[in-house]
Parts: sequence; C-alpha cells; structure tokens
Amino acid sequence: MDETTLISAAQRGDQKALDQLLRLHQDRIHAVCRRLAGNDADALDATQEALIAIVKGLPRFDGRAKFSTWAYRVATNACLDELRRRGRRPDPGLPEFETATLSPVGGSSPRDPAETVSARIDVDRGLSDLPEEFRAAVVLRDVIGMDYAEIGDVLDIAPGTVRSRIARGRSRLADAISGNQNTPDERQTP
Amino acid sequence: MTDHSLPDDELLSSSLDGELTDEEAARLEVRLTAEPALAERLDALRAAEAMASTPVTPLAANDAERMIAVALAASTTTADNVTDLAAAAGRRRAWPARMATIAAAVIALAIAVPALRAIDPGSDSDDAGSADTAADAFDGESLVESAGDDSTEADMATEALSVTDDDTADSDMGGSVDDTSDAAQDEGVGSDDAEREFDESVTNLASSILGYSPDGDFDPLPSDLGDFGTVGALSVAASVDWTQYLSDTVTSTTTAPANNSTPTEDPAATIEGAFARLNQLGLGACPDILEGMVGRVDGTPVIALDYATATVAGDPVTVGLFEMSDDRATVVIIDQTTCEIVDVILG
Repeated sequence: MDETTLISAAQRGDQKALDQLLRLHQDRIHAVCRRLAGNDADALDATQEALIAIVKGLPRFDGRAKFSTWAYRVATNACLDELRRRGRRPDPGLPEFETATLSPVGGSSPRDPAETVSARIDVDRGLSDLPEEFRAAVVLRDVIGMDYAEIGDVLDIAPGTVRSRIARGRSRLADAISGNQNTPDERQTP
Repeated sequence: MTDHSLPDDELLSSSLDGELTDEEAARLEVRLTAEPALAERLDALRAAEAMASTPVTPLAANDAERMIAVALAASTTTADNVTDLAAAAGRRRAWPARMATIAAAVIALAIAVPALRAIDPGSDSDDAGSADTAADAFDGESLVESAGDDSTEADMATEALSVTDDDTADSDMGGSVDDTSDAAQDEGVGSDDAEREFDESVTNLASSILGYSPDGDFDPLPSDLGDFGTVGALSVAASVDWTQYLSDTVTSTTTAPANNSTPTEDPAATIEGAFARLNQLGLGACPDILEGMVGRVDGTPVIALDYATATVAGDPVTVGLFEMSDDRATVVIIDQTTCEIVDVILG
C-alpha cells in the first residue's frame, strides 16, 4: 500500500493504515524531537506528543502539501510546544558524546587522512546553545535532509530566512567547535 | 579568535547544502581559491554540519511500540468522550450491573491490601482533622476539566464517579477472600484490632456482598504507569491499558463462581467506614482521596476499581479507575500535590 493510499485509509479510520503510516515516519520524527529536545527523556515525551498531534490532525490533512512536510510541521510544532510548556531550554542532560570525523579547522585538505581529526563532540550541548529558530532549521536540514523550500514550508518562513537561520546556526556551532566565543553581534558584516 | 562575515557564512553554508545558483557557485569557487581564510571557514562550517548530522540513536523497540499504541488510542479518543461527564452519567445507568459489581468487589481488595500494608501502627488520627478541608476540595465543585470547553455540572461528575447501593447490591457472584486477608497480616500489618476490623469489613464487602473471587485476575492498571510529560499523554496511556485489559482478561473474570448470597451489609456504609478508618490512620497525601481512591464525592462514598501511581512532569498523581464495563470505563487522574482532579477520562 503506497503512502497516499495509507493516508486515505487512515483518514477513514483504518487503524492498521494509521499504524503503518505512523511507523513510516516515527523514527525521523523522533530524530527531530531528540535533537530539538537535547535529551532522551524529553525527546520521548515530545515524540509522543508529536505522534498524537499527527493522529489528531490527520482528518484535516488535505493533501495540498506533501504528507511528510505536513507531518514534520505538526511534529516540529508539537515538540517545540512541549518544550515551551516545560518552560525551559533544551536540557542536554548527560553528554551524548558521539564521534564525528571533522576536517581540521585551518587544515590544508579535508581529503587528507593524515590531516583529519576525529573529535568527540557533545552534539546536544552544541545544539542546545542555539536559539530555537536556528536549532529547528539546522535540525530539519542536517538531521532530516530537507531542502530549504521544504524547511520553509515546515517552519512557515521564506527560503531566504531558512538559509539565514541555518547559516547562523552552523556559524555558532562552528565557533563553538573552534573555540571562537564571539557572538554574532560581534562579528563583522560588510 | 577569528571574525567571520555572516553573509559569507550564508554563502558557504548554502554551498554545503547545494542551494547556490550556478552563478553563485562559480563566484564562490573563485574566491575560495584566492582567499585561504574563506576556505578555512568552509571547513569549519562543514565540521558544524557534520556535528549536527550525527545520527540519533534509534528508539528502543518497546518505546516505539508504546508510542504507536498511545497514538492509535488517541485517534479514537475524542474531546467529547474525554470530558463529557453528563453523557457518561447517562450511559452509566445502562451498564451491565454484573460487570460493575464484579469490578467494584475485586478492587475493594485491591485497595484494602496495599493500603493496609502502608499502615504505620504508630500513626495517630491527627491527620484526620484535615479531612474536612480536603472534603471541601473534593465535593464535586473542584472537578477540573482539562479540555476546558466541555466542563459539566459537578453533580453529574459525582454521579459518574459514585459506587452506590444499586450498583453493588444485585450481584450474583461470590467467592472466598480469606487468603487475601491472611496475606495482609502475614506482611506484619493490620496487627491491631482496628486494622483487623477494617480488613474484615472490606473482605466481607468483597466476598459476601459483591462477590469477589481470589482466582479472578482483575488488575487493569499496573501499579506504576510511569512518567509522562503531560496529563494528556498519561490519560491516553491509562486508556490504552484498560482497553487492552478488557479484551484480554475481563471475560475470564466474569466466570468467577457464583454466590447467590443475600447482601448482609450496606456497601455504601462499608465504603464510608473504610474511608473513615483510612483517614483516621492518616494514610495518603490527600485525606479525602487516600492512596486507594476511597473517599466521598459530594457526600457519596466512592471506591475505585483500581488505581495506579504515575508522575506528570515530575509531579505525583494517582490514576483511579472508577467504573468499567465491556465497552467503557471512567478513569480519574488526581494531582497528589494539589489533591485536585486534573482529568476525567471516559473511554
């Protein structure tokens, strides 16, 4: 059964179709919520709220947008709402040290294995330090792989704003990695 | 420390995403060759991208399954059946009397045993003095509808939550519960006469009036439902548990041996007595609710069929299952900090 058929069946109350539809997107929705929330516990609750929001909102899905775009819009808003209800910034909790292979800042060539460094990065702490609007854009791009137009649809902002937010988010992450503590306001603009 | 131009960062970041026009890409290529600092910044942003792209650890299988189940349950839980206590009160009158009777009977024991186990023989009755205040907060006026718009009259809520004589007196079921009473005493609780009296009164209520079979496996709610971010998530989870329970277990419970004995006690009076006794012993953070959801609603003695503990955003709550039939149930969530009902679920 393709996704369009699943959606139609789920909208008619077919629980098996709804089950399949949710399973198709559950992992990626959790991935979004996990990076937005910054820790496992909040991510689980946020993911649950997101899935419930999708189920509750499904009757109103009219097919004008891609289902994935609609679902991630609902899920992202549900996750962010859940975090706002808790009245706090993402709590990285225990560091989730994960190994990322990085090009050396200032290195001669990122393709040179001898010049490549493996740095242990606290992903959650890095993302949690980003303002919410930057974090959401970066997560949708780098975790889900959406293009700027899709992210714009999900976040209801123009593609140009998406581009700016992703750049600002990555800029802060890059500065954190390299130890540059300048705030954006302190940076040069032409 | 290095300063970076934000417009350059936008250009470089977009290039990583393949979001530049051909013209922009060509111009950037030229600049990267001529400006080493720009190339370094591209590497730095690439590192940031790699960090943000770090794969997320997949959901544990049991978490994934639970989430799907909760979400599916939410698809059949509408605002109406979560909050419409008036409609529930009407439907309740048509419930199969036997089902409600069995449930109430069995849970009389489910409440009694853990409550007795929690008794501190050294407790005095000082806490009972606060019962009047708490009773005011639990008299039906304080029912809080989390969905807001669908609030109903307190007397309807009271009716929906009450276990009355009519619900219990027409039971045709029966069985022995002596082993349960013994078990409670084996735990070293109920050692004084008053506690034994209480134990016996609840035992009698269950066995000779309501018809409890100790072989029946009636336990709709686990003892601890876990931690939830919101009352809504907890409500749905609680609904899921009893719905599954109904389909798996209740049929066998209804086959408990029959006992056509005539009621010898007034169930309402017995519940009231149990409530008073538990209050006297100072059990529970909410004097009018207690751990086992025994108490009064608008003056009517009520007893939960089953109850569980949980937390919502770290705050302790009690989840009480008040009524259950083959097609619906009433679940009440009480905030143990404020002693207020925060949600009533009618599924």
